Amino acid sequence: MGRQLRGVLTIITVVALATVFGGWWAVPVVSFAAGFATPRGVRQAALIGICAGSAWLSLLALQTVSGIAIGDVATKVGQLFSLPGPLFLLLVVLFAFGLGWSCAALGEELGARLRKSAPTPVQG
Amino acid sequence: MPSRLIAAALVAAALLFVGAKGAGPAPPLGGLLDPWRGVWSAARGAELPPASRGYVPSLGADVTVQYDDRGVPHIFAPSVLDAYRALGYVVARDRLFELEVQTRAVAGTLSELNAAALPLDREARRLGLAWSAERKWAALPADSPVRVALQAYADGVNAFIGQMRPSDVPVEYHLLGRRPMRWEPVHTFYLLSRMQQTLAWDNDDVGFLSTAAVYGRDVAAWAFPRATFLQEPIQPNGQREARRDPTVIPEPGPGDTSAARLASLAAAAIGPRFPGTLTERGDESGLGSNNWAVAPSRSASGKALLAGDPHLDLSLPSVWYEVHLVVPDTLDVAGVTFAGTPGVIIGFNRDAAWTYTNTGADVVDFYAESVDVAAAPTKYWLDGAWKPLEIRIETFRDKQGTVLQVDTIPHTHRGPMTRVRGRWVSFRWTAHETEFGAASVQTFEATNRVKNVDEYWAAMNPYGVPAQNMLSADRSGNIAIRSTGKYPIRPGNGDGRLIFDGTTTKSDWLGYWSTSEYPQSKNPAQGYLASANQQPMDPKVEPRYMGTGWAPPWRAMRINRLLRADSAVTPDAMRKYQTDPGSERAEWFVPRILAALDTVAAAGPLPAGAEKSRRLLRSWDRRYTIDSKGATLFEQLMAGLGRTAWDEFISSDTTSPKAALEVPGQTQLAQLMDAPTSTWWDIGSTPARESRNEVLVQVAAAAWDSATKKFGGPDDPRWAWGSAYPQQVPHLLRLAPFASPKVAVTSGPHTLAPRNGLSNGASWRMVAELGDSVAVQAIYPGGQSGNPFSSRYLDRLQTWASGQLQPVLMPRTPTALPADRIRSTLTLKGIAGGSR
Repeated sequence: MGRQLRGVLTIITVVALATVFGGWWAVPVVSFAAGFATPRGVRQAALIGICAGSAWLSLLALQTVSGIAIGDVATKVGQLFSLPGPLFLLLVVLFAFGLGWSCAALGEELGARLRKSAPTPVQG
Repeated sequence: MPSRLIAAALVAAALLFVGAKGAGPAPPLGGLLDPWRGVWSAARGAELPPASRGYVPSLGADVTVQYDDRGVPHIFAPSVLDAYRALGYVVARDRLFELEVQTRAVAGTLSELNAAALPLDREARRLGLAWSAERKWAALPADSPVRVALQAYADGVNAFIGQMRPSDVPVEYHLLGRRPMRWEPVHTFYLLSRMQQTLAWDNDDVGFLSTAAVYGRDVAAWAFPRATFLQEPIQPNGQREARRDPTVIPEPGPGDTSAARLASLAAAAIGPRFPGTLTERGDESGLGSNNWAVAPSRSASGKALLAGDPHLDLSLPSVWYEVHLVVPDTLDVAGVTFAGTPGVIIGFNRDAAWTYTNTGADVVDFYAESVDVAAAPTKYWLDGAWKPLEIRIETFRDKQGTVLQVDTIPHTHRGPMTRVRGRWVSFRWTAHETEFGAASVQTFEATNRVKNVDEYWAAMNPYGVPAQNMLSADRSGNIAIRSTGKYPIRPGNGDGRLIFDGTTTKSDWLGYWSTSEYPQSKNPAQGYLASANQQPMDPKVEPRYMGTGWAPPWRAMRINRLLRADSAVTPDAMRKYQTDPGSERAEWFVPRILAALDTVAAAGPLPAGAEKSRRLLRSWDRRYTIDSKGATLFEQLMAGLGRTAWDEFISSDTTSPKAALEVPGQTQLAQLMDAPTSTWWDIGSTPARESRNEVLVQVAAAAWDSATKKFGGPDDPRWAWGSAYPQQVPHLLRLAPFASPKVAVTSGPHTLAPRNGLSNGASWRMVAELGDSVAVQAIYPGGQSGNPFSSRYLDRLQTWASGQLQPVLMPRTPTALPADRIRSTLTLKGIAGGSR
């Protein structure tokens, strides 16, 4: 398994678990942290956003295969917002993606600035 | 790159804001969309697990709750208080949002969920519903059994709230972005206030005075009569069929100017009409409850039989929750309870069964008050002296806690006051009387343990409001009915259709009827008893004023006809009667309509539409079956007939006094059918003077055209009654996706399963046979769960719609419930890790 794939799976897992135990705030927090930890010069905020969306989609899929009527919820609650069920599901994924990407991008930027201003270690 | 940073910052800020705070009417999206704790979790908690455990800290010992395959919890508790704690827990488990929203409706705090509800909140507080509930609670001594019972129930509700997992949170809370509120014992009084408002807030005073103001008091007295012209009373009067009393239909007369002033005072004091009250005389066809009992002498099995079907505005979840409570050697009762009330309201135990219909008596009066300062009164004039007013400040907030409105509501010793064009009007209502607070809980609770109909009557003696036609039967073969509730004794001639002088205590109520004076009957010679909201006593037997809000007599006539004709009644016959498609109203009107059309046709051809109507009505069996074509046409015709005959009571000009009038009801129209030349038949908008027959021809032609336009032709499937007038049960918040599908049902306006629209009908149907044991079948529309994603949300609808009932299980012990009927077991413990 490649390093990047491992990283992706790790972020998906962390976002999913953090959502289960901490709620939706897990997405901006974990994404920001992941962005912050990104090595300088690497741009992967979009990937982190995709991971966040995938994490939420995975949680819904997990419940669906467990026999939970997620499709029924999407259809009925979607109607309340004048959205077809699939679009309501898409809204969920886009919300997580948007939060994940934006917070990761902010984390990347802050991390890069902090690292840039930090003194360079000198080998003696 | 700065642009990327700015974009990310803007997106993050926007999403974090809508995630945490929401946008416009949308709730906070983060909590809503969260795939684990958000709206989706409602589906995860939709079904009961096979086994579960809960904790109620105040429990005396463990309680076992077994849910059967109908979703009914059978609660086996060591004490009555533990049973109520467990009841609070299981009701909260299935109906938590219903508990809260019904309570808020009375407390006037719906605007804290949605600011758009502010007008409803102001109205609820102006009526003093929460004020009176709080006074009733405060009046309970600390050791009052009622206080202790309500606290036990509240402990159970709050224990559930305290242990909720995300999947236990009802979907409505996700949609509103709220968390459940804590349940207080006083909330039970709130819920009872809501039922009192629905069933005992009689508005005929306004209708009577408004009609008198425009057409004189004779017309008002005819339109709002003290006595129904067709007498089929609840207390048997010894007659073999309904009696028609002669009436004179008064011609329109000059308006009564004093009534006009009083009408405007009363109208403003009462405020907007509430759905579910018997106030719309022209729209009364869908409301009404039935109950009847058959003595062993007229039942096929030689056992007493009892049937009941209270009708209310239907909702999902239902106002009722079905339950069985067992406390060894103390309590063994099953039936339905209001979500939020300890004990069973309508039901049965091992010895007796009971059910109710609304009496509809006049238990509210209005008083014109004199105050010290009209703009901001602090005192009112009474018996020659100033008396201090009780001032209540009502503050309304939105979900953020921002104050939306502050109202100051003064109260006299009679009740809340409202200012109307510079005048202040107070009202007194039995629902506000503190002395009936404890009784409203205590009496229902006491009925759960009665052994026979005599004990049932004794248990209900203190009961106050809303007055109910209380029917009971026992295993010894006794049947009994009594219209129980406090009926005010008024000064003067006792008539309540007035605005009284508030400056003197001589206007006040003098007391209440004694229980021996209530309409009642036990084991009558006729061998059965029946009530359908009709006038309870024959005015020849009891001429005193009780009210005018009696339902039209059609249902009472129908059930009496069915029971008189059947000397060997079976439980299944009782079940069929509950959805009997026959209509005494149609039996009254159709022959008269046909006779009028025949008369006109004899003189010349009818207009095409009228002729087609005549043919279809002639072939109609006058039954509201699903495939009936005649029923659909008849209802079109009756709607048009009401609008045309009562054009004198309808005005599109909102400034016209006529705009405030209530359209006379079906009983007045029934009388008018036999007065072919009455002035009321004349259509005011035409220069000619029309007679009954001319109006009927016009209406019959218009009905055909209207039905054709709406439903195609009579061969179109849409024309069939079940398609043209289907039934639908709406969600409590009227959220369309959570409503039931539309279903075709047998029955129609003024039949034994009356309805006049999509959403009202029999809220509970029960048939009991009482012999060596008590065997009961029952149903209500919807299901036990308030969760729209649960299989128990709508599982009873089709059975209910088809007029079927389900046998009710009543195991004596947890092991007595057949294993294949157990769906879930809940063990409630006193403290975590073990009971105490």
